[in-house]
Amino acid sequence: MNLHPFDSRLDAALRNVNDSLTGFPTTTVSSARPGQVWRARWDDALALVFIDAILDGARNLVRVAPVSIGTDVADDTAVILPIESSPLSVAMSVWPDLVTDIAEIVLERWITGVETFASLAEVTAAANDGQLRRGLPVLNELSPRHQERLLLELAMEVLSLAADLPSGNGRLEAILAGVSTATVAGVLNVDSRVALQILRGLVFIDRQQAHLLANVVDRDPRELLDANPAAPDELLATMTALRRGAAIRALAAKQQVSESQAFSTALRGVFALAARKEGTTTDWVGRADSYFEVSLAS
Amino acid sequence: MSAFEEMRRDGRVGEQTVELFVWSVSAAVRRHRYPPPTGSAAWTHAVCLEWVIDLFDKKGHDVAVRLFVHAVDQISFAKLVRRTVENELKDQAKATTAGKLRGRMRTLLGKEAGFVDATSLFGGDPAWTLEGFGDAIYLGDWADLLYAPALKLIEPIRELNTAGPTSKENADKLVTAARVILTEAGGAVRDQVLATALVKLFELEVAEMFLGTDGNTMAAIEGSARSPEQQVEAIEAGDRMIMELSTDELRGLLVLEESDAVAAVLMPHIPNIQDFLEALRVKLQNLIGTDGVPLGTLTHVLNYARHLPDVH
Repeated sequence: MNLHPFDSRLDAALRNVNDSLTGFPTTTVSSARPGQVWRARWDDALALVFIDAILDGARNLVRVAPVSIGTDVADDTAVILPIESSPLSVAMSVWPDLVTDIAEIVLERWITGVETFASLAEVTAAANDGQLRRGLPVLNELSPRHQERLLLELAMEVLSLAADLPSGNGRLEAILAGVSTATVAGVLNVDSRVALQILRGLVFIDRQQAHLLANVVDRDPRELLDANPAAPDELLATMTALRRGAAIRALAAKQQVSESQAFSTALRGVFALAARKEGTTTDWVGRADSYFEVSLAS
Repeated sequence: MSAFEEMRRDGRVGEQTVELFVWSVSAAVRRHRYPPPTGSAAWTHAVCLEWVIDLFDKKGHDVAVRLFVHAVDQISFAKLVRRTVENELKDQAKATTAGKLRGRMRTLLGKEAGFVDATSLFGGDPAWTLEGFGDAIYLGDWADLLYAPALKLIEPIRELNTAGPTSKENADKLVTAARVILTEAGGAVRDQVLATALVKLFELEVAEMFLGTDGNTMAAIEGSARSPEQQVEAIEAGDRMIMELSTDELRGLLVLEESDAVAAVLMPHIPNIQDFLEALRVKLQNLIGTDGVPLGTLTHVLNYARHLPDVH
């Protein structure tokens, strides 16, 4: 290293950082469990989250609350987990008021486990009986504590919308009746094959596409989203599973698009493939596996 | 190679990361005009590097945790470094801010009923107590005093106006908080400790203008920022800019610094937020032009945008 005249001091300081950095676990955890802290990432939203509960249902939802590293940014709604509460050896602030349900596909990396508390109810109870402290009240309109809360609120909103499967009542074909293939292709900037599939109600449209098509048919975008094809539970379950996250992020990186775009394209692709199924059942997991394998290899 | 790639390749931070930290220090101290450390005349590269080494020495583990959990690419890595540096600079500024607040509180509390100068109880160290506490001295951790329930009832201090005196309202809140803290303490507290507690409670290290001088009146600080002529010039230039921007573009100014995903949530009615914001950046550059705009113009435009009605 050739930065300055006092290399030995810098080397020692760097060792101080690197000894910690290389000591952190590199374990890959294959399933989410209550009491774990994960890094959640989707598009350009990123937040640490404490897993409160694994929810039942096809969308693989988990109930989470955001987590901040350190205590200075915690307001009086956040609960402070002390240094000794996790192997990370750093205090963390959990925000129970910002609890949100998100699809587990956005959980990108396991960070640590909280050893004493396995749910938000336990964390909140410990704060209420004085076992854990909360942060300080917001007494300044420029408060960084308040800014942190606003940022986390936005991040959680983005994450809650991630992989929000646009499954609906199947009325898309009727609503779009009379609209030409060329119009749909032009408005949505898709090829005519995809436009035709949309007009026939064979594939999903996403939020952005619903907004664009809403102008064409003079309807509320929500109505169009609700009119999407009904997605089978098996498809929802396989497309939002934790293990699909890595594939979606790899596809997004490869195609240089956002995770939302990669997910939307993959969903459309897997669903359209299934439209050509033979027999009475569909191996959704197998189809999704094949889709990602081919997409990432090509 | 970027700092992030260096860490991903080697599993540790190295020269590129140090350079990124040094650059971030240099940028932050320029932007916020932090004074150089004691004994240094200016924030030279060597001084910035010394500062980074001190940070790694004192808070190496904390830095490592933040890099471990938050860095996912070069952009997030750079943001993280900037935030770490700015937080540390603010922490260091707290001591200075508390020092300035001591003088201000001495003036304020000296005029308030119930507050008693307790300097004699600390052998000449300036201190405060409340009537009725006698010779009692608080020996606990000052941070514990900040959990007094009554502190939650205080309204937040206000952002400073661009002109006109506003000090009384904020000063009343500081005095109220001091009374609550001393009541919670049940005895005398050094004035340095009281000031440090108030800085932490009100997060005053961020409101740089508030304590930017030895200030007994904030009006003096606010009034000296710009002359009336300059303010009028800025308002007129701002109004011209507002006329050139659509309502959505004005709203877009408020989310220009946000990520695309966050901006999309804040402006859901814009179909392609990425393209929209990029076009807005170009338009803004054209409006500002090569000659720039008077100081305060963009503040005026942003204030206007903040008061637009929400889209439903």
